[in-house]
Amino acid sequence: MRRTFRFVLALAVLLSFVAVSNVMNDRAEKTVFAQAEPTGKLAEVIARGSLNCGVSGGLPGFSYLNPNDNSWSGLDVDYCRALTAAIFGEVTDTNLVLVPLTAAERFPALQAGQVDVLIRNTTWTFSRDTDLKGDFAPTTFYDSQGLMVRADAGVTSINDLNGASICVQTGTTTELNVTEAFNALAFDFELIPFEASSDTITAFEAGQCDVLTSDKSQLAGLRYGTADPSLYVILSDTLSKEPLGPMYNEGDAQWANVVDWTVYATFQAEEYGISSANLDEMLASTDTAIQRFLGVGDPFNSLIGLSNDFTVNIIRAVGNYAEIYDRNITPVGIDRAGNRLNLQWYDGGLIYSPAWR
Amino acid sequence: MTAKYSRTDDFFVNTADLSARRPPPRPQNTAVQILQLPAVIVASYLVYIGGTIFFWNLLNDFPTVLAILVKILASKVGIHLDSLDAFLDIFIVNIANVVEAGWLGFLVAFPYIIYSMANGLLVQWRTDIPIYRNIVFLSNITQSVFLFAVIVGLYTLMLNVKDNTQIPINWNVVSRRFSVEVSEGPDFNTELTWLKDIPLVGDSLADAAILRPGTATRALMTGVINTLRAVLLALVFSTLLGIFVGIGLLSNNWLVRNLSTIYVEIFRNTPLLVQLFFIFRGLLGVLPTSPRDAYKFGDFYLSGRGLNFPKVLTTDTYPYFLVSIIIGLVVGVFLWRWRLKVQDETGKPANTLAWFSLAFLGLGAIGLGLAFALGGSPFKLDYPVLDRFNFSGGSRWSSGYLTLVVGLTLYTGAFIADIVRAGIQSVSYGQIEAARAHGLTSNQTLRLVVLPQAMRLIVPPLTNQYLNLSKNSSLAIAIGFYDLYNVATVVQNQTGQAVALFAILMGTYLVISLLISLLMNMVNRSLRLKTR
Repeated sequence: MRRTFRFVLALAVLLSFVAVSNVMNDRAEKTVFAQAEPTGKLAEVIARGSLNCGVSGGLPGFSYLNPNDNSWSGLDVDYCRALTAAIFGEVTDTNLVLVPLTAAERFPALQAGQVDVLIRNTTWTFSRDTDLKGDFAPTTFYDSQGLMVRADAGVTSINDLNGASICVQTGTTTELNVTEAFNALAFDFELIPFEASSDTITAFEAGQCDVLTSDKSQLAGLRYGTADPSLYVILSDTLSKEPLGPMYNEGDAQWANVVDWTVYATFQAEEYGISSANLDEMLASTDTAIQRFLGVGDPFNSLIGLSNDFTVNIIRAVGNYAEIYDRNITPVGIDRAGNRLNLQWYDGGLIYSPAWR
Repeated sequence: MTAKYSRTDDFFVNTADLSARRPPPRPQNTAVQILQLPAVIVASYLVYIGGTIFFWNLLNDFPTVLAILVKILASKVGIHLDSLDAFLDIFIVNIANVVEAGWLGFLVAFPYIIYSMANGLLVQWRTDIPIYRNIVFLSNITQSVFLFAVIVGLYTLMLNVKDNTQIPINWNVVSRRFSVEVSEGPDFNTELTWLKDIPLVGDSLADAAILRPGTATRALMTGVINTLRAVLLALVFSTLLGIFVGIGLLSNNWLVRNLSTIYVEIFRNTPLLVQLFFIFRGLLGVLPTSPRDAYKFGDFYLSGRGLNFPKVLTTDTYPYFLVSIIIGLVVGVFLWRWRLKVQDETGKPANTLAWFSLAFLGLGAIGLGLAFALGGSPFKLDYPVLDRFNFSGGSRWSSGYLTLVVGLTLYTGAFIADIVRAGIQSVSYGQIEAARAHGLTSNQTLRLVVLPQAMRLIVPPLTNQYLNLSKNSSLAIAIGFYDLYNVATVVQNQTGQAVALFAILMGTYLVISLLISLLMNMVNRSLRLKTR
């Protein structure tokens, strides 16, 4: 009788240990990587059910509305899609609203909350970061300002351009850079400002100016869109650094994290060799780093306030950085290998994601 | 002495008697009379400022205190307002804004209110007209209340922008350095050196001007000048075009009448922006694009880039010419008035214009001769010379400027033509028949009988067209002309200060429009039917 009692007691103690440790384990799993509560802008976007993304709309390679089938394409548009997929799981017809903005409209639209994020080939500058109360996500395209001239003008560098008329899109950093560059050379010049970049190229084609200045990627896109691109050449001179990336209002740390790490996810995916094509086999990978990045196992990724598999959703929607680049920028005529800054860090470029752990 | 009453006294009121019956004016001290109004204003203002300082803090904190009280009371009865926090915050901010705006509005409107009240009371004291029956007081007080409401509304809107969005507002943005080249119009950065020539103050003015080069204000001033340059020219041309086409619409000549109709209908019924693009891309596209192939008319060169022509510069002998021209003008005006007097007295023909021209041109010629005698021509020409890309030297009207002037002229001219036609048709046909019966030619009938009467109907709608024209000039941004709107957009883009820049824009266009209205109202008044 005593022995039976002792056995039952021992068994009960053992069982209770197991039970308690099980409960503890459950709790541990839930609390160690708790999904952050969405607040601020993220909560607002989720409640609205759609993301308002400010883009350009008239710029091949970055954000371009094809007039034939009303389809959007471009690097900026793909980042809008990536962010939508990260927040809502997938991109549908209703949960992403692309808002075309002119250079002049973009900052007031962002500041007034008309768009949640501005992905409109916007240069990261000191004054925009401070005075305009904006913050910038990691640069998605490293650009530089260049000059396009007629091939038959006999111009080989900026030093030949004294007295030239220059078409420029108003409200851009290029307007300031070209003024400073020509003033530094003490050249006479005439600026002809236009509101839209499509107006600059028509005026340039019509001969109303000798030079068209803009970011080199934009020049390539505009040149690519002319009837005969061989009539125009882009000079090798570089007037300025133009790091382009998403911009959002400052003061909302969670929203900043969401936008920043959406961009990093595309960089990191390329680094790990994960693309939209091999995503399913990568999900079965035994590599813990890849498992962590893709949200397999611990709900590590939900720390940011999104679902644990938001990286999977991004890659499924738009692919990694290399895919985005090849789909949008390469057709415009800017080779990634020739444009070294936009290569991954291990290839000597500046595309670099912080550690995903 | 017995009072005499007669029937004539009853029926015919003697005005001398009437004034005798009015109570005598109260005797007043002159010093009191002079000082009373300012004294009332100053005293009320002191009371007002003292009261403001006392109540200001209380009223400023009032909404917050109220909200805390509401929260405490609600929690006592078991309602937790935490979920309503966001709503409450916005509510508080808006209340606070209205209160703040109210104070500002009061601050501005208060002197006006006090002035009108003081004035009303003074009138009541002097004439026994009660203040609530005093029409001047009533209209003044209505206006001050309206002023108050307008200021409160605008300021509340601005504060709401400040509190509920992240749009930065900084009114000092215009004094920031602005490093975009405004390639057209006067360059206020370099051309201000003429300030040095002003005696006594010139050096310090020029120093002040040079100390702050390239500010946004300078660029905006250039923009204003460019806008005015285009608007004034288009005003003159569109009026001339409108009058001729308007008369043409009523012409007996089939071709003239139908051509006029076609012009009016086309330009009145298509958007101005489309017309501007058509001129800019279509008409100017016909011209040679390179300045090297420009059409040459003497020293005028016309290409797709614009019109280049010689610039008139003054030389050292210019002052001789200028002074004699001014003397000629003064002498001319005196001669004009003398001839009018002679005509009034003797009835001889005045020939004012001939006498005026004689004096003006004669003295001008003397000045010109003097200048040549003392050192050569008072003027010299700066010719445009072809460089590698463009012309250098001379003056230039850019293709954007030409497009804007031509576009505004054609568009507004169509509207003015129709207004002129309506004005002419409003003159009764009997007037024309009467003029013909008096033997006036059709030209004289139009000039002396029809147009003077038609003008009375034409001017008010014409004012509207002028206002439209001045505001339509902001479409210049589409064709790359640096007008006010374009420059302001550039400044706004580079600084991000949308609220400040758009307020400046609205203010400037408002001033331009009000000036046009003022001038046109003066014209209207001078044309009014004179009745005596």
